[in-house]
Amino acid sequence: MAVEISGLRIAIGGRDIVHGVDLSIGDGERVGLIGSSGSGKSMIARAMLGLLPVQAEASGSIRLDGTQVVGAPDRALADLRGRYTGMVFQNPAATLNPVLTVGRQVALPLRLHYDLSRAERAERVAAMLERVGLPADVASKYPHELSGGQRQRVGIAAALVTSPRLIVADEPTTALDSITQRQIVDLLVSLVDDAGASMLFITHDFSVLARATTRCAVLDAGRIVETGATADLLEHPADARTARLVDAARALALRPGGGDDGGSGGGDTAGDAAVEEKDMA
Amino acid sequence: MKNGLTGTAQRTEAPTGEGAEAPGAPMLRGAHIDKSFGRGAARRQVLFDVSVDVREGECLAVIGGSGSGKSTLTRILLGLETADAGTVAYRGAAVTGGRRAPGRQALRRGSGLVFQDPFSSLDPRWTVARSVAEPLRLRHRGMPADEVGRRVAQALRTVGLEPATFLGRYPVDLSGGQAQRVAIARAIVNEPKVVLADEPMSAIDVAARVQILDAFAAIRDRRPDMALIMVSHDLGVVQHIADRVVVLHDGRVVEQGPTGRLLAAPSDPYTRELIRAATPFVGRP
Amino acid sequence: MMARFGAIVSSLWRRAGGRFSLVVLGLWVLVSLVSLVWTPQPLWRTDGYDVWAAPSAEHWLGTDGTGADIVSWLMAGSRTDLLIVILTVLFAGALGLLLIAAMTARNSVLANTSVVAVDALISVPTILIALILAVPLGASVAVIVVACGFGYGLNLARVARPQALLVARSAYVESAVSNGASGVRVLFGHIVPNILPVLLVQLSLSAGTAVLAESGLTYLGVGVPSGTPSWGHSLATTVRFITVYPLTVLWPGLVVTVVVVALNLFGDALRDAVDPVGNPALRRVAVEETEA
Repeated sequence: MAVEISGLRIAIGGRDIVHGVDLSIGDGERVGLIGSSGSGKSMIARAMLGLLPVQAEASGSIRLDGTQVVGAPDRALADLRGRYTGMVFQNPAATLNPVLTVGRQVALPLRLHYDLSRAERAERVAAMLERVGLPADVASKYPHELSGGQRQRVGIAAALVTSPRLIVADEPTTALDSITQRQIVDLLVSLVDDAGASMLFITHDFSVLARATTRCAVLDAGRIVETGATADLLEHPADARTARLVDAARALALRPGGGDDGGSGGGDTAGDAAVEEKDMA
Repeated sequence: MKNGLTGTAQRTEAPTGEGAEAPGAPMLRGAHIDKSFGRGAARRQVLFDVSVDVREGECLAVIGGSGSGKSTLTRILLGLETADAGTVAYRGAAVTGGRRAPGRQALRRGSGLVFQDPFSSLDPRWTVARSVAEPLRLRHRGMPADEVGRRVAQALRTVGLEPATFLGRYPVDLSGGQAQRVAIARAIVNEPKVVLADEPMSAIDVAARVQILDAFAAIRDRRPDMALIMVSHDLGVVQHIADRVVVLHDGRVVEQGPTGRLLAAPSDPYTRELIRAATPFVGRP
Repeated sequence: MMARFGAIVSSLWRRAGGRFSLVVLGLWVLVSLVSLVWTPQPLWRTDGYDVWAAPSAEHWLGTDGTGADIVSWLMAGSRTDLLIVILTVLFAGALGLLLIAAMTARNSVLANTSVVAVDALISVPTILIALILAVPLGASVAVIVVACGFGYGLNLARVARPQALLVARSAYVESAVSNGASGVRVLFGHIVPNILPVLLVQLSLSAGTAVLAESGLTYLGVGVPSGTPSWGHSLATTVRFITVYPLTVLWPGLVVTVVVVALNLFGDALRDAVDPVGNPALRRVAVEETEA
């Protein structure tokens, strides 16, 4: 599904959160949206699926395969969300319903938007759980019985069970440990590519973006400051704000084969280049 | 790159016997710790016969995935939780064995805590000045106000926050990185002998994580005898600061050793997986 | 300190509800004080030939069935109700805090016992407590204060408990406790400031309900003793004649209604004004104070 965002503005309580953002995602493309907390990246994601909070005002245009989302009536949006788009959230513990079994949770989008028999639904849910790498008995378990990584897999299964054409992943790995992070990113990428769907991947961490996307946009204080191929941005960030994010991610990535100078008492850390001066003002 | 390699070389040359690698004497010693949570059928053991030393002046990283027991282990070491079996001793005095254990009060007085989520670890209705001053007010009842103010300002400067700008702020007006540095300032204002930082960077933006690392480095510069226990799931984060790493997996220590040696020559498959996970840039070091 | 007080008052004044409640409550206190030294007519001057009089220059709101001046009795009654509200709020607040301290205690036996006790006692109706208390005490202000304060204190503790527990289990309290903070210090340093929004709203509701309860209990004969001026007394002595002389009931009813509404609005406005998390003006003052 192709996405065309132009001149998107979002304000909450009279305060502008997003100031005129343009962004396009080609059919089958994986695009990243990266920025610090408070940069407005989650708001853009929510606007794309018509999930903005009620007090938010959006203007401009968001077209999903030509269909205008901004200002569209709730019924049309609900149908769009259920059939053509899927969202993966940051905190699966908070987005999964604690009193529903995993099986019912994953079946929910199918029940709401498709007219399938019980057996057909069960079959699709089982197939989906298998594709996200969960054992079959997970279907009868409750979210609290699962680990964080397993819960995120359930979240992905629920988002992808309707075979959506667009996946919006809002910081899907932030709450996970580093090994699980890598597994989840790899899983998401392979599922999205297999389905030929498009994906918008939102994060504050360039190191995750490098694996998840081919192209990305850097968001700072509600404005896009740089767009380009993810690999190019990592190599030659043009904007200072992009450079800061890249430097930070690089500083925190492990240097292969060695342990830096940790033993010296910690006088020199990797972050010197990226120290933010504005706090001292 | 070059830095990393020389660091490795120095470390592999050193004798491999316990105690020979780091200069400090053991200050906190946990031996054969077992811990379970829950009762009956829901009982789940999270630590199996874990032994670990923390030496004076060192930074010890406790690494592992979620559910590995790393938080539980460090909380037991600091006397915040009780072990089912095994002992913890602080400078030779027992910390385990009830509230009246001889080492317990001394450890409490000599320790500072940094938590994962900076916003839930600062009282939302207290100013920065009041939060950072709290340990001083509690531990040094008679300290004059200007002395408290001086020490609070110094602690804030150490973590890279200008006191005049931040003293009067409330947590709602801080970014995640700033709030976490305030929490760190609170943890060090009492000049503790050991600081426990439990995943101090995982709830914070990558760009701000670097500032947290710098803050810890500055503290270690100022206080060379202070031990720092850093809990993390990310080897990339701790390589810059940790002298030694303990790798926990499913409640067992699978590997421990000096950071350089462990990263250069991991002996356990789980450690190798952690190293792989922390090197995410594709095709570029 | 002064700047902080100024910021709170100006935040209160900026809201319509806050302004209304400040004016009404200010008038209440003022009238109570004035009534100690002056009322339009002496309280006990009654005139058997001038009962149920319509409002006039002499009797601004008319007279009641004994010929007593209504406005003078309402003025004198305002100080009784003010006293009842203040004492009830103090009693309810103190009991509520005591119970919150017990329910959030680190001693789990104490915490569990107090939760069960509050849940059991809260089912006893306030009116029943008042009727029982009236047996030894007779009709008195103490009956109202103790019965209402008891009920509202229990309610306060139960409503504030979830928030108080969140605070008691927070990382900042753990940090304080590991530095040797006592239970009392945690209660007044961390728990109370963080449940203050709930406390203020609940206590202002209690204050309003206390005024209503005074009227009700006095009507039943277990509240303010006969002969002591109070709004409930003014209502009780006139309400039987509401179909004949509706105006005489209207005045005390109006006063009670306006005051109860003002108390509720005051609680909401005060909550928003004194909370640094919700009031940016208060946070600005704190920053300015430290920058200076």
